[in-house]
Amino acid sequence: MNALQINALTKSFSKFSLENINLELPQGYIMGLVGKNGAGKTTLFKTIMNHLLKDHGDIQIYGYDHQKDEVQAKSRIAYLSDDPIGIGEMSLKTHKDAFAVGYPTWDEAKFQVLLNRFKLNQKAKVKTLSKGMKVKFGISLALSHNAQLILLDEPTAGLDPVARNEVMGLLQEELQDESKSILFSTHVTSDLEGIADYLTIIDQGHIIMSETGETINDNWRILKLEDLPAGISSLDVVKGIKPTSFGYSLLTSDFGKLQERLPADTTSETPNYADIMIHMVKGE
Amino acid sequence: MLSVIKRDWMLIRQKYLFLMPVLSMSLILLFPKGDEGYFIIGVPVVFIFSVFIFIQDDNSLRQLLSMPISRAGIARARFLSGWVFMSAGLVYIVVLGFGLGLVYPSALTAFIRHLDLLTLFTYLWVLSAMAFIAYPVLFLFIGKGVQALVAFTLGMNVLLGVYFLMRFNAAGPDIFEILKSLIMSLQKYHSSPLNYVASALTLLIVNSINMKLCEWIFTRKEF
Amino acid sequence: MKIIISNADPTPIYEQVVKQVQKQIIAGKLPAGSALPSIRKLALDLQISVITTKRAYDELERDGFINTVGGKGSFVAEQSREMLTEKKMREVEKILAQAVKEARSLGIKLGDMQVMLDLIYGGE
Repeated sequence: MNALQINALTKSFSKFSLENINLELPQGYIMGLVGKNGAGKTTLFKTIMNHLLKDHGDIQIYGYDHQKDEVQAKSRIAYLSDDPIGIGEMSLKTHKDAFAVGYPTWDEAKFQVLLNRFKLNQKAKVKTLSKGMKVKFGISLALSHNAQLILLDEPTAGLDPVARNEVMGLLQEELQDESKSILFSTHVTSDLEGIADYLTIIDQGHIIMSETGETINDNWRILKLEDLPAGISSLDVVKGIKPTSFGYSLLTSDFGKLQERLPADTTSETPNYADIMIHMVKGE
Repeated sequence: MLSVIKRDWMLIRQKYLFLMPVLSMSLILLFPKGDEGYFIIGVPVVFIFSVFIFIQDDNSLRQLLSMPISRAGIARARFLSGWVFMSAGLVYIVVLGFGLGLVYPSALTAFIRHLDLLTLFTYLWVLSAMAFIAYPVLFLFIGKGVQALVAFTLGMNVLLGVYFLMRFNAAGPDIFEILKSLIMSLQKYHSSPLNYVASALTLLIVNSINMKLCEWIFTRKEF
Repeated sequence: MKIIISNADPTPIYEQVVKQVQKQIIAGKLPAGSALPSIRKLALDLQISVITTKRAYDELERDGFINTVGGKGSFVAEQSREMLTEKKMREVEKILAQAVKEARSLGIKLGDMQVMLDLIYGGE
């Protein structure tokens, strides 16, 4: 069962469009969605949430269509938007009450645990919160109605490394419950190193890759080449080529397939997520 | 759907419910003209509050849209919630009518004279007509930011100001004369019990159409 | 169970997990029948992905070192210690064979090699 399944999704605006998005997130796993600012991360989230209306394609949440079975689908989703908290004059408690009203599955005990953990004061007004505290508050709300698919749009943006670590740790704890799945976006690849089961890169409205970390470790390599063998750049398994001062740095998704075409002494190394981004995402 | 209405009240309306008497009282003090009492209170209440009905920041709305409630359900709930709010306004008018009577005795007699089924129906018709103008417009504005709503509110209030200025300034022509005659003919219509029943049914139909229209707009909006 | 993951180590993370679990089984720190942490718990503790730990456990299970009982978790298999020790013995044998082959080609005598071995073994 896939927690989230997107088939051939398109959504066009005058200056930007999501094109032919296909994505699968199996139940029980965490996927990091990486891309530059403006790559389409927020648009994708909003389209999944049906805040933006798709042009074509299918989106299913645990098998429920996000439009036809909107209520069923949304009762399984927790969503933290890129700017989650509204009215600044409200206290956290009022905000929480207004939020909890919408969810029959609200878990007050869990919410209190999270508040304590993040050292948030219920009586404080929303406007007095720092950016980091707002994010923590938003996450506390999102995680307290026992949703199975947790969608987080840039949960670590504006957080210091300590808070970032706290948040990522919390997400991993959520995954202890095998029925839960997480999709979160970020433009910082280091958020994903280690914990993300799937790495998905979005660029200019296209999903340019979606792989498990293990596949990357096994098959993806960065090669340092002095010259490019003829015709190599048009191969499927060549994911990106960057000129360097020594020649070229080449990213491949299948080193084994490429090996015979390369000099025997070619050095290869396993790419980290930043390397993949640098090779695959087009510059300005 | 009930949860949406509940949330609506928690976040927005209860605040304005407190604001309502303050506003109305200050209007009474501004226009202390006995016989016009219920008009003076009624019209601004209707205007201001039918307009304030959908004021809500976009973040909060997005939160609502993320909850397990269908879009049509949200539109319905907010429409009904607006009506509940306007009915509360009606109760306020009654209460304030008496309050006004204490300050200006002549107003009390006028108020009591008007306080009947005919007044109620007039009020409902005026509200429904305004809702028909305001709601679809507001639903179109939803998600476009608070500014658009504020602009709309201000526009309505300026219109209202012009109206009152003209009413109390004999020199100017009353451009709302047509409205007044419409209300007069509406009141003439309510002459038999059968007409009341027909009127009530028409009110229901008009508001259902309006609600459907709002649903239609809301389910096609992007946020 | 104690596992330390090093990002500086070029060995894939799942392999690091596999090796360290094996090591602890051989050392007797993980006796047969003892429970391993759940895949998700281990992923959380090590701050690595669930898929990585799952792969490590799959590998261990495939080679017969652990058994996974649906709904109950993973346990160290009976005789896994003997199996592992045997396997490691064969690895040592292989390395020694390599050394002998090398020594023969250089004309080093058995006696000299034994002296060498004593020296190395004793020096540890």
